[in-house]
Parts: sequence; C-alpha cells; structure tokens
Amino acid sequence: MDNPSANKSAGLLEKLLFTVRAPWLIVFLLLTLFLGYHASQVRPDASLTKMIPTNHPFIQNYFDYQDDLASLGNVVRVAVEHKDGDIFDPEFQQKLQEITDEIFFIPGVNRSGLRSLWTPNVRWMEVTEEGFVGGPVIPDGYDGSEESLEQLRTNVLRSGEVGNLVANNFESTIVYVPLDEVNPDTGEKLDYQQFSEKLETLVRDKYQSDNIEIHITGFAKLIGDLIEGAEQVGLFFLLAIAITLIMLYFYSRCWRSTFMVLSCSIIAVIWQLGIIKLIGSGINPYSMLVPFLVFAIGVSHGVQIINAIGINRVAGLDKVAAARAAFRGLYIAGLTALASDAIGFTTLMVIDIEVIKELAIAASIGVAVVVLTNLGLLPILMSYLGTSDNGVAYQKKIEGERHPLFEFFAKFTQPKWAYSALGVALVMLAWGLVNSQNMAIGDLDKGAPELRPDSRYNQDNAFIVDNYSSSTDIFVVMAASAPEQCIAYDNLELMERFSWHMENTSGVQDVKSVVYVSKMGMFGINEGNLKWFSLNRNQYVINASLSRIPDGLINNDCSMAPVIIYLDDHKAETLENVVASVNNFNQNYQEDGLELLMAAGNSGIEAATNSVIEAAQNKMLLWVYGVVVLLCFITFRSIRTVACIVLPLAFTTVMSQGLMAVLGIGIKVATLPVIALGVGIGVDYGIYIYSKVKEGLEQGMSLQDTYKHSLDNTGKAVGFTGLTLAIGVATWIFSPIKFQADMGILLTFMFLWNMLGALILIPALARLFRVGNKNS
Amino acid sequence: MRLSLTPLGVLLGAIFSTTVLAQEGDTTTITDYEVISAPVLSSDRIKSEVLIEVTAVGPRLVAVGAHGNILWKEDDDWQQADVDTSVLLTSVAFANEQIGWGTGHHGVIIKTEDGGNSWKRQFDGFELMKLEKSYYEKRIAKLNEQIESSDDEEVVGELEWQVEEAQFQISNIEVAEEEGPSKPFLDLYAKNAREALAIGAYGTFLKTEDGGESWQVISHRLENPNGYHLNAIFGQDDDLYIMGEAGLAFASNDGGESWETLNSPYRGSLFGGHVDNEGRLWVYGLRGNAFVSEDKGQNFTTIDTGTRVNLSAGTTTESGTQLIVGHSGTILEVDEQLNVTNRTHPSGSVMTDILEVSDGEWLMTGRSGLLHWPAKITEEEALATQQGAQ
Repeated sequence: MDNPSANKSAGLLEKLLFTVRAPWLIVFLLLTLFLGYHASQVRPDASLTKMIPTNHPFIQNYFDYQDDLASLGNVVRVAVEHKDGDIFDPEFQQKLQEITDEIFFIPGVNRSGLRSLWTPNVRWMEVTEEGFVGGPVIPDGYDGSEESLEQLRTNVLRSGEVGNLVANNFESTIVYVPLDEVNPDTGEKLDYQQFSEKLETLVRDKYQSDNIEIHITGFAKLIGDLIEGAEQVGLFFLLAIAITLIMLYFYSRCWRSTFMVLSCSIIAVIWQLGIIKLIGSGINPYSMLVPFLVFAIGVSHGVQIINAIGINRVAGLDKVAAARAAFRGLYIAGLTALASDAIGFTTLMVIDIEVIKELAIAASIGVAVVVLTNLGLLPILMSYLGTSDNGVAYQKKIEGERHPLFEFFAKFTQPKWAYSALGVALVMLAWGLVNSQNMAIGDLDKGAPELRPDSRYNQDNAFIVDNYSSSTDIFVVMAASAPEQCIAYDNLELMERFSWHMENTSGVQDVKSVVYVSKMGMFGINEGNLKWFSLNRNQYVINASLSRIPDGLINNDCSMAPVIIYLDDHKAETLENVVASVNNFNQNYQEDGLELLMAAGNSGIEAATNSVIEAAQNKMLLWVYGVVVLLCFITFRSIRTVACIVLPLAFTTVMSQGLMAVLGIGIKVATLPVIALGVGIGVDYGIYIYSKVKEGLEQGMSLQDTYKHSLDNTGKAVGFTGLTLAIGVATWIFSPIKFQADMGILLTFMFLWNMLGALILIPALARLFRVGNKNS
Repeated sequence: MRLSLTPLGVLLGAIFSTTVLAQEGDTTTITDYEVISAPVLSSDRIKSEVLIEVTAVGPRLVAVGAHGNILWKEDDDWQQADVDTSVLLTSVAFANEQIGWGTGHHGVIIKTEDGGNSWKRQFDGFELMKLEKSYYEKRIAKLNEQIESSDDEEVVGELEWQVEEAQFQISNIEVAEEEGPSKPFLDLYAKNAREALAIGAYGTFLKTEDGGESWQVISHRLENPNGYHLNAIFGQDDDLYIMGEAGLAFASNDGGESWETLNSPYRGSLFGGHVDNEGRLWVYGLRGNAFVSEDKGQNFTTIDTGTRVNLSAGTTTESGTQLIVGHSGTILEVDEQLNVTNRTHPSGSVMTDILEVSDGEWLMTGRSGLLHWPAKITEEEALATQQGAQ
C-alpha cells in the first residue's frame, strides 16, 4: 500500500487500537455479553406475510379480505389409511373414532367445524315424497357388526363425501380439521409449531401402526415443519464450525490462531444476531443464511490477518509489532472488500419482499460487524497471544516454496494460456447463456415447494391429491360487490360465466364458488332433478337454494364471495396463464357492481410473488453490478481493471443461471438474493488479487511476474477464502427445507466458481486487455 | 415497476390463451351480461360438463346441457355446436334430420335447421312473460263474459275463482317483469317441422304451429290447478303423455289437442317416461319408482326396481328390454317379465338420459357429461368421475 493518505489514516486507527489495547478488550467483552443476551432471544419465525410481496396489488386485495378468507384456508387434513383393506372395518372405525376424539381436544381446533365420519355434522341426505330426509353417516345404533358396516357404506355413498372425506378407493378417510387463528376462549394466537407437534405426538405417533397410516397436510402443518426444519439448520452451523476449525489448523498449524479466528467470527455472528434483535428485525428461514455467511466472511478475513501476522513473525517482529503491521497492511483491502459486500447486499433492498429485505439488512449488519471483530478485535487478541512456535515454524518452512498450483495459475498470463482459457470460458459462457434461457420463474416441483419433494409432508400431500378429488394448488379470485349484494342474481350469473371461462383455461382443474352451491341447492330443492342445475333469477329462490352455505364462501356482510380455482400445478407458466385468463375476462366483461379481484390462495400469492421476482430480477442485477463496477472503479481508477475484475463475475452469474435451469431450480424468493450475494462476495477475490497486481505493475514488473507476486501474497488466502465460504454454505445443501438447499447449492457453486474465475480469468483478461504491457 | 407488469401479463395471456381468445374473439366489452343472449363459449371440457339429454337423429347423435353447450357427432369425435345462448339446456327433440328444437332455463327455446350444427334462439322468457300476461288478460275477459251470461250461481262462483286465479298469475308476472324471467322449459315434443309442444315449470305449456315463429299458451288444456312443474312430454303418433311433479300424469290421443288426467300410480314426482315398440307406456320418478302400463295409462303395474334412487329417463333397446337411468350411477334393465338387472356406472354420477348406441353399448348423459356403458375409463371420464363424486 503506497497510498500515503491511506497509510496515514491506517496509522491513526492503528494507534487508536493498539495504544490502549486492554480497555478495548473490555469494551468488546461487554458488547459481546450485552448482544449475546439479545441474540439468545432470537427465534426463527415463518410468518407468511413476510414471504410475500405485500405491496403487490394481488396481495393488497388479499389483505382487504384476509379475515373473510381465513376459514377457507386454515385447515389441516388428517388422512387415516387402512393398509390392508377398506375403511368399512370395525377395528379401523374404532381407531378413526379415537383419532377424531383426540383431535377434537387439541387446542386451536375449531370444534364445531371438525368433520370426520364420526362427527354428527357429516350427514347423508335423500329426497323423498315428503322432502329431504337424512341422518348422520354413522348409523344409529352402530355396533361394528356386518349390517351396521353395510349401512355405513350405503350412507357414505349417498352422503356425497366420496372424494371429499372418503378416498375414491375407500381405503382411507379424512379428518377435516379447521383451525382458529385466534383461540376464541383465551384470545391467544395459534402456535403453529406447537399445534404441529401435538398432531405428531397425539395422532401420528400414537395411532400409526402396521395397518394404519396417518397422512397430514395443511398450512399449519407446513409452517410447523418449516420451523422444525429451520431449527435443524442450527445444527449445520456447528458442522460448519467444526470443518472450518480443521481447515484453519491445517492452514496455520497453530491452535492459538485457529481458535482466535473462530472466536472472533463467532462473536461477529453473536453481534449480528443481537443487533437484528435490537432493531426489531427477525430471523426467518431465508435470513438464517446470514449467520453462515457472516461466519465464513469473518473467517476469510481472519485468515488474512493471521497469515500476515505469521509472515511478520517469521520476518522477526515481536507479537505486538507483527499484529500492528498485519493490521496496517490489510486495513484498506479488507475494508474495501467488506464495503463491497455490504453494499452488494444492500442492493437486495430493491426487492419488495420482507424476508429478502430482512436478509439484506442482516447481511449488511453482519459484514459491518466483521470489520470490528476480525479487523479490530482479532489483531488485538493476537498481539497478546501471538502465533505459536509451531505456527511460525510452519510458516517459515512453506515460505520458500512456491506451490505448483500457483505456477499453474501464473501461466494464464502468457498469451497462449490466456487465450485458451478465454476460449474455454466463451464456450462455457455460451452453454450458460443457452441454458439460462430455460430458467423458470417460481417453483417447479409438485406439492409444497418449501419442502423437498420427498419430504414426509409432500408424500402425505401426494397421497391426498392422488386419492381424493382435491388439488392443493389453489388460486382464489375475490368477487367483490356492495354489501348484501354478493348473492344478487346479476352477480352470481356473471360469476357463473367467469367460472366456466376459467374452467376452460388450460391448467385449471375445477372451479368452485357460492354459484356452485346455489346450483346444487336448486338441484336439491327440485327433488334432485338435474334439469334444475342452474341459477334462478328469482332472489327468493336463490336465497332458498343457499340455505346452507359452507364456511367461507361468502363473507359476513355479503360483500365478497371467493371463486376458488383449483390448478394442475403451481408452475409459473400455469399461474401466468391463469392470471392472463382472469385479466382477459375482466376486459371483456365489465359489470357495474361486481369486481373480480386477484388473488388469494397459495397459487394466487405465488403468482404475485413471481411477478415481483420477475420484475426485480434484472433490476437487482443492474444494481449489484452497478455498485460493484463503481467500487472497483473508485479503487483502481481504470476501466480495463474494472473489466478484468467484473467480467469473471458476470461469467459466474451466467453459469449459475445455466446451472439453475439444468437443476430445475427456479428464480424465487430464495434464489434471487443468491445471485446478489454471489456477486457481492465474489468481487472480494478480484479486489485482493488485483490490488497486489497493481502493486507489482507499479513496481515495473512484467504481467507474469506481477501475477506470481500477487499469488505468492494473496493466492493462498484467496483459495482458502473460497473454500471456507463454500463450506459455510455447502452444509445447507442438506437442509430439509428445499429452498435452503437450493440456496446452498447455488452459493457453493458461485463461491467456488468465482474463486476459479478470479485465479484464471483475471490474468487471462489482463493479458487480453494488455494491462501492464508497457512495463514488460 | 409493478404497474408495467399488467400489460406484460396481458401480452403473455394473449400468447397462452389463444384457444380461449379465438372463440371469445369479439373484443367488445360486455357491460350488461345476460345469460339468455350470451353466445356459448367454446370449450374443450364440454364432454365432462353437465349434459341433460341425448338424442339420435339420422346418423347423428346430439346432446345438450349446461352453459348452452350442444355437442353433435356423426362419425368421429364430438363437435361443439354454435349456439346463441348460454342457459342450461334441458331437452332436445328433432322433427326430422334437419329441424330440431332445444329448451332451456330463463324460458329459452332454440331451433336448428341444419341438423344441429347451429342453433338460434326463437323464444325467451321475456317473450313468455308477455305471452302469458296477454293470455291471462284474454282469459279474464272471456271468463267475465261467461260470468255475465251465466245464471247458475255455482258456475259463477267457480268462474270468479278462476278470474282471481288468473289475476294472481298476472300479478306474479308483473313481479317477474322486475327481475326477469325465471321459469325454465323442461321438455319439448316435436310433432313435425311445423308443430311442437313445450312444457316447463309451474305448469307452463306452449305450442307452435308455424315452426316456432310464434307460440301460444295452452296451459288450460291440462288439469293442473296447483301449477305443478311439468317434467316430461313424449309419445308416439297421436298418443302423447306428460308427466310432472307430485304424480301428475296426462294423456292425449289426438296429438295434444285435448288431454285426459290419468289416474296416477304414484303421488311423488315423475321425471320421465317413454313408449316402447309395442306401445307400452313406461314412467318413472322419485325414489326408484317405476311403472308400466299396457293400456295407454289407464292401469299401471309397479316395477320392483330394487333401488331407492331417483330415476330420470329411459329408452327401449333393439332387443326389447327397457333401460332406465338415475342417480348414483344406476342403470336398470327391465326385461319382458319385468325382471330388473341393476348395474352401477363406476362414476356413481347423477345420470339423466340413456341411448343405445349398439347392442350392449349405451351412451348416457348427466352430471359428469357423457358416460359410456360398458364404462370406458378415458382420461375425461376419470376426471368426470372425480368431479361427479364431489
């Protein structure tokens, strides 16, 4: 670092830190205790509203009617399967009765809405000369005998529950469990995780046996599983620490340095968690990535420090002087790199989704904290402890050697190697570009996209989708009218047209709404004559046909009736198609008094999220690259240099997009930030390497010598940084939560690829752009 | 940024939903949607959507159902007819291979002159209201004349009651004028290319003698003081029958000019009937009730159907057995000795009509659209089965 002003400021800071070392340690200790206390209060939460783009018009519409729609969605289905036979079996029925009773008493269950063959609200009905007759599906005086089971079978058939509560193959039956978001007795909010656990212990664990299998699905169960999975990820953190510990030791051969780097990095994580708790932000399944990143970034910078201290010790400096010199030497490069990380993360704020914003804030805070702990605290600590003799001896031993790998990388400054490398890169780039065209928005797998396709939840979900007539991909259009007008004839007739229009949209399986209930009601009050399966213009007749409206199909003041559209899947293409079809209808039919508003339901929300993601995608890339280019330009003042550093990053971005397409990972809330993180952190390598290249060139060396010089000084650290970062996030690949695994795969790929890109393409590009030619 | 998405969505929609657009085609925005005059939507789902009746006409099969849907088939696959209404169609009947009528809700009657390819509205509930209003007004005038000229107090009392009744009907129509037509036609009998009879809810009974250009109310020809629904009209040559709500049963032996009230075998609703090759009358209705008459409805024999489900419609096979369909996938086959074979279609669906396609091969309509026996589980039928079960 020849910049005198930088030296001067570094000198100031250096004096500030090192002349009064002990008080600093106390300050750091107190801060750690204080923030540690707050960090321990942090709990993962999986709030739905944070994962969705709350300002999108679909979501705004959804929020307007959220309470009205609550009873529609917040349901858990417990399918009880008889493994060897059908459900008309005395022992099975007894178990079913016990399970129904068990669920009845779980807190949070809306008891009056609970439905199973054993609840009195599940009835059969028949039209006779006198009108309707009916009764509970379980016959009076049921005793498990052949006759009563036969009667049960008859009642089930005429109850209309086949495909609904009873599987199409009669081998399983559902206990339908509506939940109260707020407990009407205590006023407490439903604790999803606790509820989900109760279902596991009181139902699945207790009743699952050789011939009975329990399948559970529903939003509450999904959230419970998500939080449980997220907590499991905490364990991965320990794994990441263990692996890093081993690597650090092999790198330094000094336990003292190893533990100090680890400790400072863990302190950084504690501070980061403590601060986000203090500013009222939370940690969610997405931002859980941040502690891993902060830890890895902390370690990578810590390595630079202990590396420098080791070299200084070999050079003969004492403990304090070695630490001071290390600080002095790394202060600028470290700060630039960390600043670019932090600013890179901040660009994520352009995406209007709360979890991503939380992730951006948490990551920026984390990086800022690393500056204090690993550039500040670590050198002070090392000035007390010093590198162990073992470490110094190892450093001395390897100093004279030049690693064969570095010789290899240095070759890329020669024209032949440079142009071959660029040629290969171009071919790969073409591969990436071609494949990235197939990159899809949104989630591509069946079932709940948050979890892995083979998770138990998704297996249970698949069981219910296969055996019952219900899709779990639901798109809700809200038919909004003036109060008391939701079932006015004109409105119903337009909804009928809309429903039929939607049923004819590809990707739509079925459409249900109060219109269907009215038509069924007409069919019923006209003695089951299907010739009456139509809406009637007479309002009294309509009201009569709607004497029994299932929960949630109209709201309290009758100003909104949801039209529920069941979809084949939740692929982005399907959702776009459905949205376009609704827009198309709204354009062709504009009736005063009725507005068809998108969108609620899991698929409606996903459609909104997809459109926000799609819009944010290029905006985010523009921002993150803009920031990186600007930072590099400020640091190096050369467009050619900026090109040398940024082009390998762009190469990695394109390659990772190609990889996403090939692996079937869509662009979604989880993966969109990854690209920004990859670029933000990836630029570190370039900055480190190029700062040394610049140093060499200014000393008049040839490009090749310069690059060798640079690799000698930073190559090892760059390699190590790439590996620690990759390991930090690679543990995520094993997360039970699908999107965390996707993040893990992509980040690991990007960190490694960025490292290789920096080591190979920077020299090759430097050759191409004739950087330093004038000196050689 | 978010706003700019909407046109993008529309653009994408235009690409993806070309099938929907092509048929809905007209870009004019509808601000006052009326199901009576809304043209039918083109649909791929028509075969699995509600269908009510199917009939054979020459080499063709024609089926009608929900949303104004009409399907026809000659050799290959079913085609969707061009129809200028979207109401639920309740029946179809042909006078010859070219000319046929269909009836539907909201008082709609449609006609085809090209064997079923295209259908035009001839009549709707708004016209029905006008027609019925003037019918009752004329009737009141006529009754008043009779009252004037009569001395018999008993007769006058009866006539005055009838005047009141007609006035009540007029006030009903005046109420209905506010909200629009609500009466559906439920069945139609085409005597020939000029003459047809249409029946419907609340005792509605109409005839045409000019191929549907004009219709007359002839409700007074039936003894139906309670205005019960008339569900089915069918027959052979001049022997015609009407079955209705609460066991209503009428017979005519002069092609519908005069009607005799039959001694009904059942007090519950009768939904349908047919006359077999030997002139026997078969009728059926609520709760598995079915009857046969050898003497044009003077005496009925009860058939032991062994089922309690609603029976909707029936037909005679080549081999002389009777097929009757109803709810819960029920298909009854009745032989000469009145023995009943009870088959259940796997869909378990509500069925409304049955037709013999070839020996042992039947085509049914109903809640799940077109169904076949022996059951062909095609993808569509599997879907229909699922939906029907819901």
